[in-house]
Amino acid sequence: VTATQFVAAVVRTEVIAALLIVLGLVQFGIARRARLRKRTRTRNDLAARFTRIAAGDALSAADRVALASAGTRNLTASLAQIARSVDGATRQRLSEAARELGVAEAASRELDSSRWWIRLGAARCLSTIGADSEQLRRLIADPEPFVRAEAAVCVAFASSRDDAALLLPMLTDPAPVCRFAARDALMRIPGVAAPIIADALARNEGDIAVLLTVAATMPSHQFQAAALQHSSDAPGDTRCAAVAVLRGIGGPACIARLRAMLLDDDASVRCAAADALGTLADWRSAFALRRLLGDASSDVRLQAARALQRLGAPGVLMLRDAAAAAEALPAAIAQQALDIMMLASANGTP
Amino acid sequence: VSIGHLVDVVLVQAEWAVLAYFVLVNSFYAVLLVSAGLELRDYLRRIRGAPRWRLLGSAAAPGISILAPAYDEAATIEASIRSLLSIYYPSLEVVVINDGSRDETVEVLRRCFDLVPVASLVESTIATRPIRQVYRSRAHSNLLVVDKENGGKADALNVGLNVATKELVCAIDADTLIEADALQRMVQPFLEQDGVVAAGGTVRVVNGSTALGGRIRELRAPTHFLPGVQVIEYLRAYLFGRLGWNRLGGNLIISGAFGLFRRDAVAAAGGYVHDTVGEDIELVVRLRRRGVENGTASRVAFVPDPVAWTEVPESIRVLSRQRDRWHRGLADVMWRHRSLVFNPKYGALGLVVIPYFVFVELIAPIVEALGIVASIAGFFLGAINYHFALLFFLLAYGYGLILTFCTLVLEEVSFHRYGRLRDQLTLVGWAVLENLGYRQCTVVWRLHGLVKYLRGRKDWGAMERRGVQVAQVPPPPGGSVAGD
Repeated sequence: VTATQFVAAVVRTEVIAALLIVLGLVQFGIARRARLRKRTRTRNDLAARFTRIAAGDALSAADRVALASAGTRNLTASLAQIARSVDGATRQRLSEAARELGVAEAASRELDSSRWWIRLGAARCLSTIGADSEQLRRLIADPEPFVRAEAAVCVAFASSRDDAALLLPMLTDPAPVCRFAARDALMRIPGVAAPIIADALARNEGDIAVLLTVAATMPSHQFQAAALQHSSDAPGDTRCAAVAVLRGIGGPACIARLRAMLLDDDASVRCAAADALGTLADWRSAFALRRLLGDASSDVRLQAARALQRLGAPGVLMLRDAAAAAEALPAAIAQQALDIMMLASANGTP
Repeated sequence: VSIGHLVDVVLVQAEWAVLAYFVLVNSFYAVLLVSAGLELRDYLRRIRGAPRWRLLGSAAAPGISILAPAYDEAATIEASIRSLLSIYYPSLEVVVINDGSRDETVEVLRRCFDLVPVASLVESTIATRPIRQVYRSRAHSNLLVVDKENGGKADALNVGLNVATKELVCAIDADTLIEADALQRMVQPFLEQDGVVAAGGTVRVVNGSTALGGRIRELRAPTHFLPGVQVIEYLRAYLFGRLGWNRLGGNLIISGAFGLFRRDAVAAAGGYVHDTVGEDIELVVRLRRRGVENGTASRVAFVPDPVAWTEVPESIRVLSRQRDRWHRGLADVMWRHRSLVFNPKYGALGLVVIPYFVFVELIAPIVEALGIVASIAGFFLGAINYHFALLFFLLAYGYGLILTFCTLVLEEVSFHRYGRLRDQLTLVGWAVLENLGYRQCTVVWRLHGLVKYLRGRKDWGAMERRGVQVAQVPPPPGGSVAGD
């Protein structure tokens, strides 16, 4: 075989391959459109039936026949479409209907699959219709991070204290998608999650910084003792997280602690404390913040000036005092803050 | 030995060199295609049935600051910013940076969004041109406008980085149309993997389609030649090039039209550099390089979903300037980071990724031009076996066509954006025509870019846009509908 013959054969093969691909593309496109039309009709019909069930109608014989013949994937998709906008008893009715139709059972079976994407589909189905404790535990123990993350979604809807407690270890999962899902789920159910997190903090269980970070999003006096404790005798990131919790709670004890944290060894903690006191508009901290204008860290100086800007008249007084002072560092940042305030005021800030 | 014989030998050797290059490059393309197919399969499995709306109600979602540099855009700025403000994302801040516009850009913004000056102490993490004033909108509390002295796009983005307050920053071109749920998709790599410093998404061509309120209303394949072949180029670049590299861990380009970055990583790297026309690729290379040097993970992820739409040039003059600029940018970045080439210290980045960009992307026009010139010379000197040359041309053409068709198949089985059969067949037509003249033109434009780079030219050249066709809808009673 000569090179020319070889290349000619390759070219012939290419022509055939190109024609086959184009024909396949067209055929696939036509078939897909037909499939989409059929699927849309089926799902619209299912959605209408599920809407009636969610509104309180009983599952009729006609519904049973239609729903049973629709296929699990269509059922799950239609359920998800309705379930995302309902809650409470309405959602419960949908879940019961799905269980009656065997959707939950099918999903539970699929959780045993060796293929992660089948298990993920089953997990998403269960997060729509609700998983029982046994299913939840299987999801949490799954080797695939995306499946584990779906467990957190189930918990966010179930809102039971025992189930929510299962998410605390997930806050330190090696997979970021699981950590995010657990944090998100706990933040969605603050009423259930707050006591569990407070218990964990009291017992010093888990990653304290992460627990405090989640706690900061659901301000509650339940966290005060732990935040006060960890604001002094913990690593820097934990103290920063404690600042966020103290800022959310406010009150004399927390503010006093925040003021003390302005003298922390760690610049990021001093920054966070200055920002918190500015947010709380605690004018009594004006002197302490004034001192921070001369801090060795530029971030701290900037944050202190911003905090003083937010304190109103006492803050402006301190900024003027610093601007007139002999020390270069505080004078520079204070003058900059005052100039910007003047400019904004002249340009019409209300 | 006669001169004619010597010329024959040189030509034959040149053809062999081109052939070897052809085989090497196309083998790598085949690897990329397979890699893209596998990546897309896994991605589709991961997102099937995943409701993105969950992220909308999430207090844990990382905040995003959109950085929108604007220069002399008084005519279009209102529609662009309204479109950005209507993106669905729970913790969103829009930072518009007026880069010393000579027109009424700031006045339009003040009037349309009820801006008031604010006393904002801006942290100058990255050195920039001075800020004149910072404004906040009373109508949209998440809209911040920074008026600064002119310093170019990179400087404007650096000011945006200094002013932004959120964890992630999204750099966009003001004329890019962004899908309403684009950020929900783009943020996923940051939630799913540790060490992601940047994420890019698929940018597609909007020419020929209609838009309403800054969103695509009807997607159509362009019926004109230049935008048509560019649709094919974009599909191939994103759906098989970048997606394939994503699996191999070699993503190096995030489009300047739409990219999401971790703010602290970009600030620590010093932000965008001013003195290059390839500041987007330069930033990504620098982020990855720093990651290796500091021993920290610095992943660059790619999201295959079409998230942004851009208008491509419809005239040869503008298109040639754009391609020339892109190639100058690539050359500049490769030169700046030349110490990475075949440097084992940088692992796959130094041994595979950067060499690929140098020896395939950068010098491809030289090799292609060499092949074309040698073929023409051989034709006139009679040193060519015509039958073989024709077959070889068909082989190369057929292989390129099959790769492109495979990309169209990937699009059809995945995102299926071109819903009409007619549009798909139009795209097949553009794929067939692309290699007949257009590709050879791009070789010339890119060569021109290389020559200009060697001469030290760093200008951008003007981009002319015809504007996206706006869908006509009847105005609501007593009001009007703002189109894009």
